[in-house]
Order: sequence, then C-alpha cells, then structure tokens
Amino acid sequence: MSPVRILGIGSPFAGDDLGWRLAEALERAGLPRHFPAGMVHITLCDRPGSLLLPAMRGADLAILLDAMRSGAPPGTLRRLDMLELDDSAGLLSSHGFGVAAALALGRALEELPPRVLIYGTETGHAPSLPPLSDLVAILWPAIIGDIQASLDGLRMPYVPLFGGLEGATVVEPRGAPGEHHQGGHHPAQGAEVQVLNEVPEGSLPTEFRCQ
Amino acid sequence: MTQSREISLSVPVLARVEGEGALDLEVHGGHIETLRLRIFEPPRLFEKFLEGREYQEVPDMVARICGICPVAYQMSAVQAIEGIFGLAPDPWVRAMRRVFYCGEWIQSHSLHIHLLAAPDFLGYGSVAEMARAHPDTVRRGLALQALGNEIIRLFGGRSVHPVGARVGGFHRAPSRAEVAALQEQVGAALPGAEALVAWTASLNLPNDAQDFVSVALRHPDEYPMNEGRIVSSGGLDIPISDYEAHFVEHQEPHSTALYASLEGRPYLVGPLARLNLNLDRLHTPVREALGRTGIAFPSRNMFHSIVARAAEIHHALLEVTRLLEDYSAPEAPFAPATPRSGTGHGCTEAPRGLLWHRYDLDAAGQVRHARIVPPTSQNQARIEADLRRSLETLGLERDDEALRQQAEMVIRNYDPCISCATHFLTVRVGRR
Repeated sequence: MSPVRILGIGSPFAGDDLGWRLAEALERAGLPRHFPAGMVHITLCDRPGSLLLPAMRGADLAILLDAMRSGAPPGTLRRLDMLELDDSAGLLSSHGFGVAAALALGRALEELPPRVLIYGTETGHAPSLPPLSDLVAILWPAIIGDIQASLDGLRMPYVPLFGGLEGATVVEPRGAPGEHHQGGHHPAQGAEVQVLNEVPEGSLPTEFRCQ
Repeated sequence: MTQSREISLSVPVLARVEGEGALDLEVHGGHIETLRLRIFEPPRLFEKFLEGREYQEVPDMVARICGICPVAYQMSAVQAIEGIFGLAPDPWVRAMRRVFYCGEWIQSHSLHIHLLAAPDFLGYGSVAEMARAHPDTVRRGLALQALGNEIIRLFGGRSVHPVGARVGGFHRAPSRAEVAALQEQVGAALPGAEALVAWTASLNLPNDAQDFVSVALRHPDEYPMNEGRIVSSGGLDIPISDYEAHFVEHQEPHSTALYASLEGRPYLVGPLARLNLNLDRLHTPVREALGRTGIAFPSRNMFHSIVARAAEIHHALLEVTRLLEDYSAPEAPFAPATPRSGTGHGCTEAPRGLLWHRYDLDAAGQVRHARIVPPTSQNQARIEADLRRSLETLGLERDDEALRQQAEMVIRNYDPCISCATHFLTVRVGRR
C-alpha cells in the first residue's frame, strides 16, 4: 500500500478526462520514480463515487487531480486542502455521487487519509484549456513539494532518484522528533486554497507563474 | 390574469440521482396541467457506435454505457450474439455469469439503499449528514457495495466497466484460491444482508398503494437474472424475441430518453416488479425474512422497492454461495464462436429492471444494427404517473420546497440511472 496516492479523477467520455490526462502525464514524466519504489502510486479513477474512499484507504497523503468549475478562467489551477472543501467547491462530476460527496462522506466516517489535497483545473469549452504540458510544468514542482512535506512530516527519508536533484543524496527529514504527526489531521496548513497560476480573462494563457 | 412564476432550484441532494434530470411542473387551478420528467440517456448514441463493429468488441463497448450496471449490458449483449451463433453457454459459464451478475446487483442495490435512498427515509439531506448519526449503517452499505465490486472484479478484471466477459464465456477463470477467499467474504456478509431486509422494512416508508403493471423476466426455477420469458402482472407471457410486438417506444420532445409503453400503458420494471412476479423463486431464507417484515408481497406500494432491493441482495449472496460451492476452474473459460448472420435478442434483469437488446449481424459477425432498451426509459412514463399522483396526494398548495422534496423522493425511489452529463436537477414550478 503506497503511502502517497495520486488519483486522476474523471471519465473517458464527455470531455471529462482532464484529471486522467494530468495523472497520465505525471506518470509518463516519471513522478513516481522520483521517490523510492512503492512510495508513490498514480491511479486513474473512472467516476469513482464512494469507491474513492477505498482508493485512498491506508494512504498518508492523497492527491486528487480533477476538473473544477468555480467561475475562474479556464486553465486556472487551484490547490485545495480537503479541510477547505465543501459541497459548493465546484468539483465536476459526470456521475451522481461526485468527489465532493465522497470526501464529505469520508470525513463524516473519519475514514480519510491524514492529508487530502485536490488540484482542480478550471475547465471551459475546448479548446480554451492551456496545453497539458504547461499544466504539468506547474503541477510537477507543487506535487513534489507536497509529497516531500508530507514524508518529512512522517519522518520518512527518501532518496531522490533523478530529476534535477543531486544524485542519490539522502534527504533527511525536517523537524524534531517531537513534531512527528501520527494520523489525524495535519495542523493548520489545511486552511489554504491556493491559486497556482493566474489566467487573464478572455485570453489563452501562455505563461504561468506559481504563487 | 395569469400569474406565473419560474423558480430554478439547484439542489445538492440531487447528487443522489445518477446523471441529469429536470422536472417541469405546471399547476393550473389546483390541478397539474403539465408534468414532465426530462432525462437524457446515452444508449441511443451507443447503438450507432456499435454499427460496423466486430461482435467481439460489443461486450466491452456496451459495458461503457453505464458505470453502475455494466455487467447487465454485457450479459444482454452476449446472450443476443450467442443466440445468433447458436452457441449455448456451458454449465460453468452459465453459473459464473450468474455470479458475476449477482455482484452487480449487490453493489448497485447497496449503493442505492444506503447512499441514495436511506437519507430520504431517515430525514437527512445527504448521506454525509446521515453518516454522522448512523455511521454503522453507512459502513454496512459501503462494505456490501465493496463486496459486490469484488465479485465483479474477480470475473471482470475491474469493477467499473469490466473487461472479463466475452462472447462464449469469460477471458479468464478465477482460481480456486481466489474463489475460496471470496466465499469467505460472502459468508461473512450473509447475516448482515438478512438483517438488512428487516432494517429497510423498519424505515418510515410512506404508505401509498398504487395501481401499476409489473413487468419482469420469469425463469422456470430461478429468480430471474440472465434469462427467462417476459411476464407481466397483467397476464403477459412472451419470449424475449416478441418484445417489440408488445412494447412500444415513442419520443417526447422534452426528453432524449424514449418512453416505453405496454399495450399503450406505463409499466414498472425493477426490483419491486421482479419480486412481485417471482416471490416463489426466492431462496427460502429470503422469503422467510420478507415474511417477518409483515409486508404483504406482491406489494402495490412503490416505496417497498427498497425492501425488494434488500431482499435481492440477500438472495444474491445466497445464490453466489450456492453457485460457488465445489468450484473448480474449467479447462477453457469460454467456448469458441463461429460467426454467422442473423438477428438475436438478449434480455436480462439489470439491477434497475429489464434490459432488452437486439442485434443484426452480418456473416462476418459485424454489427449491422443494434437496439438497446434500458430499464430507466421503460420506467419513465411510470415515474411521471407516480409523480402526478404523489404530488396531488401531498397537496399542490404546499410550497415549492415541499413539492420538490416529495418529487425527488419519488424519483429516487425508482433509482433512475440517468447516466452522464451533469448532476443538477432543476425543478421549475409554474403556478397559475
């Protein structure tokens, strides 16, 4: 059971495949290989409904990639902590029981991983989305950072295997032993809804910047 | 002077209907003038997609029609195609298809009972709200749903849009060890499933007897699932190939789902219709559990559908236990097929009711024409009739919120599978 699960949410139909495409792109780009084998697992979920709960069970960190409609310009990428999500978050569902409902259920049953992050990409009508590679370029460092922070919190040392980091340097976990969190919610770092890129209204975005 | 107002409500609880639906209600002088349930169903497009495809592709393609009941689509399709090829499934294939199908009933019914319907009867706006007060109830539902998915995965390779079924049988036979592990889980779930029948009957279900015609398959000695004749509470008893002679579909401008009628009248398919027509085919412990509820079946109360679903979960678990007893993997999990041209029919009992398919194949086994009649479109006219009656009984003078709640509860009770698209139900009420 991988401690970090990245779940692409969507459907192969009806244009609701953005979460899948992003997850596939991260897999192709080698994100799991950035960490020791078995630590990070990427899965595509086809309108999982309540099955989202077993898909996350046992994980320390779950990162969901999903389409979102919140009124922002298409291509806007938002990072939400589960703690900030409610039914009005605007996550799109092409089936009756969506991600927001599944997470609300998991929260009520106290069956969620200690940390759940959602990267929502604002969708519009094709072809208004920016190129997938641009979105991946933003997601890559953000997700690596999330995973590293989470593993540090769990005091899991890891060996970066490639990708711009210095060879096989063992990265020691940050923080003193007393700061180790076991299960339960992470501290207040959940209270964040972060817009990772700003997309000018009415124009196709060509450049992004991380905030 | 006419006073008319339009109200649009987008309702979170509508996440508990699969897909998109809208209800238009026009009230004039205290009577319902117009009541339209507008829904959108994808199978019409699939029928065209199937044209020109090889017969081997059909089971995987039709599995994509629905994320909740893909097995039903596969089973109706292979039955029709095997009928054309003159290929009769051997006893192992027949039994394991039934196990596969039981998995789908278990997961679909568990989902509906616990996550979609129960909040209505326990007085909660959503299952998350209900889960705080009734966590064990919700966990039971999720566990049963997971078991159903596990059964589908064992034969289908995965639980959503499974890929294990093929014309002639399955691509792979589970090992004895896999089956033994499943049997253990099924055995452990049985007491809970029996208790579920009593639990559903103990809910505060409205008492609302209605006049409707039940339609379901009937098999000489089994509770219907993969095969049988089409029968009705009105005395109909026909082979599945005669479906088109008795059941007519027509289009209404407000809905992309076709309306079906039997001899010009709405009819009911699904768990309650099945149970009403096949009580004598249930396993004895299920009949006894139903008897202890004090509810007299056949029932004319549509709200007893939830009890019927629970009974079918119980029955399906007993059926899986029976069919997997003394399991051994066959030499080959499928019989080879030799294509030939012809027209074939398939009709099986999807969780939501009768799912009828017809295929015309050419000599190479390519699809020339396909017709698929899903259960929800068959129930559409019945849902509208029920809505009309239920809202009038409730009282049309009630405020819009009360009308909306009642309408949603009535619609959800049919467990309509209105796949795809968005998940908002907009209710427009016009009063004059």
